[in-house]
Amino acid sequence: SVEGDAIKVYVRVRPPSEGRVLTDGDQGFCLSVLSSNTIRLHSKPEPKIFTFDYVANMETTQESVFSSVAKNIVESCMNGYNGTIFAYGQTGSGKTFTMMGPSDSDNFTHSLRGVIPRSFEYLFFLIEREKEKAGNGKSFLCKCSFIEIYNEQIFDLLDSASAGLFLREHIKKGVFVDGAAEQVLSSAAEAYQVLTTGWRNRRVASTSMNRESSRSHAVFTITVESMEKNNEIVNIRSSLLNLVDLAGSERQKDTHTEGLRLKEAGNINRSLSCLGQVITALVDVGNGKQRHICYRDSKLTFLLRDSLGGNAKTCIIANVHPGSRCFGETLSTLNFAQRAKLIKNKAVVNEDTQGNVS
Amino acid sequence: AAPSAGWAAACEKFRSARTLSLVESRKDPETEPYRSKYSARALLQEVKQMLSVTEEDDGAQLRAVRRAVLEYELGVNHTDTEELSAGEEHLQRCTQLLEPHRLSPDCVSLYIQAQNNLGILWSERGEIKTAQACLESAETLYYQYMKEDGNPPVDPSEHFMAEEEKLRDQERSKRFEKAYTHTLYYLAQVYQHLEMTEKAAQYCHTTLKRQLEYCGYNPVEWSLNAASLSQYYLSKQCFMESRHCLAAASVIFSQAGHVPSAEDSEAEQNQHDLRQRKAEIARCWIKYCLNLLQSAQKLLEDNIGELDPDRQVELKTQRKKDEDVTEKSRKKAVLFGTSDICDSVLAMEEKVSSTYPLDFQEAREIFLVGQNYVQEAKEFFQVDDYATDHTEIVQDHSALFKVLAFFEDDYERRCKMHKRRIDMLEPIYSALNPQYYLLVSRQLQFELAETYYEMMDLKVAIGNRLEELDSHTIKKINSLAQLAIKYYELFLDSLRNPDKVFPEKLEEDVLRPAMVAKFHIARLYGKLITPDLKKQLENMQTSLEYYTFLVDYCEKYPDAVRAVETELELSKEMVGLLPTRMERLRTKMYSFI
Repeated sequence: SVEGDAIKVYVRVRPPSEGRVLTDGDQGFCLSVLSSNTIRLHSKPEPKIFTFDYVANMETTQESVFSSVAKNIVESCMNGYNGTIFAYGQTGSGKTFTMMGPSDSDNFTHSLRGVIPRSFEYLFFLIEREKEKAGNGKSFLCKCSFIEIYNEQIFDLLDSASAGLFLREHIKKGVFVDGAAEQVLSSAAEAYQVLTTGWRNRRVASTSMNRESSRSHAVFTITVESMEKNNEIVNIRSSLLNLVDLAGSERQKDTHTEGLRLKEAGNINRSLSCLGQVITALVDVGNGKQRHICYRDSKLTFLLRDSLGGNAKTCIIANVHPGSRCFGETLSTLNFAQRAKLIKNKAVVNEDTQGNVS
Repeated sequence: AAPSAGWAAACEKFRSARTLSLVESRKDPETEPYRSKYSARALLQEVKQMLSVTEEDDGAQLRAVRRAVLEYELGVNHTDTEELSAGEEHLQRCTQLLEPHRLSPDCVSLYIQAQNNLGILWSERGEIKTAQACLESAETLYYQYMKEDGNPPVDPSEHFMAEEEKLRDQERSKRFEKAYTHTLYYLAQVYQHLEMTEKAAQYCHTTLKRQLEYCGYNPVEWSLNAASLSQYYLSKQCFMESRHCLAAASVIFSQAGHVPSAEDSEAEQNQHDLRQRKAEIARCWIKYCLNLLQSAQKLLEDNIGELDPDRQVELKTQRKKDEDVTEKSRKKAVLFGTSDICDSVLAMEEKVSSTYPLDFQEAREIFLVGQNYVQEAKEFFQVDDYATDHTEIVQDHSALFKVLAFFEDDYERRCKMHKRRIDMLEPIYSALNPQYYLLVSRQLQFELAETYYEMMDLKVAIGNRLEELDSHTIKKINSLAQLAIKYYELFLDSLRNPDKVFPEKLEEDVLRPAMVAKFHIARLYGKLITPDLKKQLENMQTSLEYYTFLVDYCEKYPDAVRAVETELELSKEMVGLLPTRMERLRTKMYSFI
């Protein structure tokens, strides 16, 4: 089978917050890590075992998460493939720590820095190495954009003054955000600088239930373009690296995850917009008949169309909190991650079984 | 009793709470999304306190209802702010207070709305069965009330209104019906989650119908929903229902109005959205035409995929007999709209049949309707901005031609139809960047290969009728076969990994197409016509290699056999026969030397 077709799923268990002392061994936990790829959730009556590509326990270092999750993807990006890394999980499960590092530090060299800064370093390390190897024959151009999807609208985090942006899909370029600001990058430090600036522009909200939760998805995209001169032939290759921080999973209405969407029209005057989703779901389970689904995917899935079952390398880091109070959310995160593993490059080839064969 | 000052103050507070909750809360800053809801909650608590003071004189039922209204408001308030347990308690208390009086016009509407909200609450906790029970009890109560009383009941908001502000019957009735429509709407979702698909569809349908009846709809949204529902009916082969939904969608969409062409960008965006929705509905119509034609083909074809004339006669006779029955079932189906709209919908329906086409003429009429919608959809989904959508529409157009060709008995004309498919598919295939559109590219490669293959077969059939193959026909056959081979090879190449290696084991979803491609290539090499014996031998050799691939693969992976039974059988036969034929050819060649 073609390696890398399926989405790789990594689960990371964060340690409980500092200052909270655990007594009675494991009692405060709703899960235990059994091996480097299995996890047991202490559900009742039967415990449930989940298997993933990789399970990082509480002791796993940032460096080791990076090597097992992102290294490979950054490398294939250098080889002209698109790559995407998602972080998924409920608010407080350690997504930001995994992806960015300790929240109080803008310091790119911090020893606890996360997957994103490490990916930057590695990417530019690989670029430098390639350049040295090829001498003058090869040049690189890196650009980045940083957008936020909030309430199904797209905003530019690099240009906070801009109005909503639109998604387009070009026959040569694939899906892109029309009019998103692009910044040329020449070093990892510069990339990090852009990222942290944009990050501050994100929308957060506090409720009496959640101290702070991100309500938007943020997508940081690096385009790597390489140009190689071989005698008279110029070979241009381009690929994308998407780093995605999803909104806290507890408020994701637009992933096809939980499916429980009864809500919406609690207010009697509001329109019954969920009905469309129900009908779409009905149509979705149709038996292989030709049909058209009117409602487009959410902005996020549309933007990442290539990454979700397309021609790209994708991995999801599902972050969970081990505390037993988080049982429900953890279960739903693990279930989501389980389903994500099933997403594959689906080549639906319309092929006639009938027809004369002799 | 005369209204006291205390009571007036309570009403005033209640009204403020509602305004905060319904109006003000929308303007809350993103950083404090529930600010107004929290203030509304505080006011409601105060009203609750005031009630115990003011209400001594009132009757038991009135007291209960007023409390229930407050519990209801508090329940909704808590669930809105993500405090489900507290919300549940309030809503439970509300229904308990109402239980004895729930059939009275004072309470019925509130009771239904409380059950609706409990349904939402339980579904958010994933307890779908419990949600179902709440909502079904609301549904039952509606029926019972309408049967036993039926007068426009009091709206919950009226319980804290002064006498002169109370609603008129028409408004009462409208609100009551709306609450019940929501019950049905939630039930549709519940049934969906319980995988009771048919029931879910039925409740969606009824919800849409009621939205029309009580004018509670946004035309664009409504039409899109109806058009989507038509696609559900398609998957169930219910063409009459599907057509009805689509016709209604088109009619209601035309009400969506054409925003005066103001210069500001919002209107422009609006126009853009409208055009997109229109194109989406057109795409649903395309699928309708396509499915109807394809289903008819399934009914009419014989075991090698050709039109079976006996079946055709049989079905035509049967159709005559069925006409009455169809008319009857027509009347049973849920029809959209009141008389005015209904007439327009029926007129719209008349433009395309909903019964299986049984001959070329009938098929052509449906084809033409589909083709018109292809043009309409393409106007919006242009290739530059909507590459995938555009490609899908082109693929549908090609599929329409393909199924139309089935009904055509003249081989030359049939061949021309396939040529039309090539002409639309090839340019789009060569334009697509496979880095982003690998899967679509694959589909196109395969479809192009199959089309050339089919054309070659037709040319061979035409040639077989001639006394002798002329050089023109031979050239044509060879070039079509070469092109088919080219696209099958491109398809197979797309399965290779980054290091250009063909996979050892094929993924399940490409297994059959890949095997069919190999098999067809084998067969195509067998069809190439050349007077050059050496070339003939080479072609046979290549053919043998491809047949052998199939046989070897299935030996190694017996699971694959199921997918390609017929092809495998024939391949085995060819692997047995070809070496003998090649031997004979070799002898012939050497005898010339």
